[in-house]
Amino acid sequence: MTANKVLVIGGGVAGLAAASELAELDIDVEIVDQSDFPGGHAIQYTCKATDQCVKCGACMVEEKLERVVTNPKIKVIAGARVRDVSKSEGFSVNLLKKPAFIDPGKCSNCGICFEKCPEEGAVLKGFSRNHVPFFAISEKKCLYLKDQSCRICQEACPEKAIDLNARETAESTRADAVILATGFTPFNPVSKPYGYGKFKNVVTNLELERMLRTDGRAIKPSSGAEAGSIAFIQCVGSRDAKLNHLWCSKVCCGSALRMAGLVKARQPGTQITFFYMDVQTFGRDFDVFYAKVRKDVRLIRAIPGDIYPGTGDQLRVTFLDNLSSETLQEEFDLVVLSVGMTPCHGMQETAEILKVPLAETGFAQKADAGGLASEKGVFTAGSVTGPMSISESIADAGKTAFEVAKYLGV
Amino acid sequence: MDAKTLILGCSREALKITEELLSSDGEVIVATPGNAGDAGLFDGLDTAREAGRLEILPVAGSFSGSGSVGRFNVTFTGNGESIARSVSSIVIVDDVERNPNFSLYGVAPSRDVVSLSQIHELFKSDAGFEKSIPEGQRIAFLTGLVEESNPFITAEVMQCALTLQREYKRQTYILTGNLKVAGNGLEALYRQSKEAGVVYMKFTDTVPDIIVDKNNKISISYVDEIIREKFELDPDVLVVDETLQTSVFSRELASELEIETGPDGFVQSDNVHRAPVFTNRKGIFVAGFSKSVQTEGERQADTGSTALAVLNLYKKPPEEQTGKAEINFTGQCVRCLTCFRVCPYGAISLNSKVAVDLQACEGCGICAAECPRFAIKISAPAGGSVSDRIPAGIKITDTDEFKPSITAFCCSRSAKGAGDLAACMGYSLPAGLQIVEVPCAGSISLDHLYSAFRQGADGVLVMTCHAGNCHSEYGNTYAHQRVDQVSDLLPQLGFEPERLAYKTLASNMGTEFAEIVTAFEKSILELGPSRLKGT
Repeated sequence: MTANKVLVIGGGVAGLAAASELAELDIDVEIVDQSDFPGGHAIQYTCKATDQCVKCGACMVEEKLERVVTNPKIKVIAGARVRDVSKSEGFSVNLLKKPAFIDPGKCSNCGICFEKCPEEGAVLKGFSRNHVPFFAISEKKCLYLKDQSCRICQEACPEKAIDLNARETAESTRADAVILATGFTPFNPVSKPYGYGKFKNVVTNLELERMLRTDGRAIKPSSGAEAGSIAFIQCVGSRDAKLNHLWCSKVCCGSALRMAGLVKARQPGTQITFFYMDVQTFGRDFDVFYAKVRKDVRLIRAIPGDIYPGTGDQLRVTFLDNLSSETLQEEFDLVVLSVGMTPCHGMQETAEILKVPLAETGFAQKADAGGLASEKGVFTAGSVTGPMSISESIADAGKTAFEVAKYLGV
Repeated sequence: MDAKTLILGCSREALKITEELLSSDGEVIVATPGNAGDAGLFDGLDTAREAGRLEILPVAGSFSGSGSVGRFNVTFTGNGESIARSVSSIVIVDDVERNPNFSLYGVAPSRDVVSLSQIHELFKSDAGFEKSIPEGQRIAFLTGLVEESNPFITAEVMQCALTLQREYKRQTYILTGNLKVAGNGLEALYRQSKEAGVVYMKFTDTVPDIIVDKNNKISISYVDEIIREKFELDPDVLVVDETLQTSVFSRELASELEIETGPDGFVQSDNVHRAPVFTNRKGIFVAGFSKSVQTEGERQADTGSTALAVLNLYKKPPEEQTGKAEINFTGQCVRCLTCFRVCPYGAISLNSKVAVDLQACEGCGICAAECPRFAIKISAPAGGSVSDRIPAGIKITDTDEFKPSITAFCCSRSAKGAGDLAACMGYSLPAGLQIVEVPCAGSISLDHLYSAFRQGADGVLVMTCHAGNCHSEYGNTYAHQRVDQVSDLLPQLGFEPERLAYKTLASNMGTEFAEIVTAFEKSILELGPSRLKGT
């Protein structure tokens, strides 16, 4: 009999945590992740500590990824997606893997491809030292892939690691159990009257995470100058009856207020305003944190109506002020939309392939106490079943790993 | 390892973990607190009990525990007898203590002013309910108005109001501060209860004025925060929410077993490295309401994670469980017990000789750095001792220009990774930067710092995890103290104190790492070479 093998679909924090727990029990694991840089959304998050750790959990994602890439029982297949799954004894799985433009065996992370590339966004940088190679080529942006007009990176690479003619490959694998850990897709705020996509200085909370992660400062994308005033707008795409999004995304209050604290510590002159419905409790010293935040940040319990262009590159935000019962307008340098978590792209299709039932919300149905999704041998972990924080995803993945071990009779 | 676990506490999560461990061929002892309300919780497990795989011990008196992972010796004393057992792992998973917030809202409990738990009791009998809250009566709930609430309590309040509204046809009102809907299904429950007729009033910068007169008449006057007009409400019944606290049983266990607790008093330090169910002591886990105020879904996740963690201990061969370092005590040891006091993992045992339990040791090196007699020799299996790895200062001679030699002690869990990431991101780092990776910054002794200067460093950096993020709880604090001590002495030794600096980082802070080392190099450039340079 062959050894037990588990396929984890999705290499975010839940998938990574479940995989390393199973590997600890001597089970072989394969992780399929559609991104070139596994780790999910959270691998791009910034540490929000000022002097003191504020328990955002971003560093734990890095730690989970490290545990996975250093564990010989786990194989990570990045840039791949599941095409179909059939089940007889175990699961037979067909994968489609993006072209391997950069050979990880040859790449030395020198970064010359990134420096020389003339097209912005065509060579992508990773987020973790555990992203090997640390660079990837964007199929959407690369000029060679568009019209074969540029091969600068391939010619410049001193290691001869780049092959722009690489093709998509089909791979197949088998597994005794499958864990669905495809996480969430951030709400796309273009449909909201906030000018996202139109105004450069309207960004999402995930974009601010990335900005703080790579630049260390909150800047205006329009000019690169530090933002002197920032408005956070909460619940964009969450708690929204019109969209039928009847859920709170749980993590955005914590993420936004912790980032506000970080910006305030690094750029003390910045004025920060936080528009919200209800501030959600996060962290075990919430009362202390909240008391400090209320001194540093102006909190307004209202969700703004519209955003118009203001003076220069500023943005004019319209909102109802509770205290005066009047509609006010105020200008900000940067507006951050805390976009909610929505069911991951292709959830419907994946659910059909794996015979996983969906809940009313469109997320995968959270299995009952038994932990099994409807199809025997298929399990879920993390925010594929609904919004979860990093720490909640890790705990959920632990529970899932235990259920899988039980199912496999380990 | 013996598959024998002690479960401490009386809760649904304790029952669930017990069931899971029994189904994984484990043996379980459940010790429930003497005052447990629901001691019959474990009655369904009689088969396991008869088979001798489950023992249930109500704890009437005191509890004591010693030993470490793989072999904890525990003793329960009470009612004139003493019961001793030995187990390989321990789980603390008790219920939560609920304290009604009467005084917080300035009201006294009475027939018509009740707590959330009391109203739950009423649901148990329809006749009793009809008598207590006759038809036509209106019920107002107060939640999160003075202190912030949490999704667990909010869920109960909304569910309770919905039941009253829908099944008992009573008009209900919920007066709330921030409505805590960050739990599974709570926003949907909020909408559902509103549709059923529950009236919500939210307060931000005002609080309702609540008066209960001597005839028990309740009146609430408040300002509607949207239209800023005054309103009066006179419900027949007032329900106050509750504050949740860790149980006395959990607290006592934490103190006896030397487990770090969090700022909220619950039995797990508020440290991301303990997620989800770990404590500072290997082989002791904490779950459910002993860990923090958690929603149903979170507590369920804990039960699986705990069972998995225990299973992992059972399955691992002992040789894979020995710690991460080799530690030896030399003849210099005078049993001052500093090591015993500072070890964050409770891994020092005091028998005829002071020794380290290698299975419980995490190899942080705090004991060796703190030992006043230099009696502890520690080395990691792969990397050797820290002292052996302190480099000689680099002399960069390709130009006449001074290029500072910088020795950076970097914690393996944070700054080391940040440095690697900075290099990946393409930052150019100082040519004279040499990194000494340490298992924990707590292992950096005064001698290591002096030695770096002695070996020719022009500047020395100590880079650790942020406060509150140290896997060894206080390793970064010790490192900070030592840097301060040496900084104070540097002028007497002829060095500028600026040659030594302490910085905190996380492993994903590549940009900040580059900023710190570049700024430090600049400051050393201004100071010029160390006076020991070239000697």
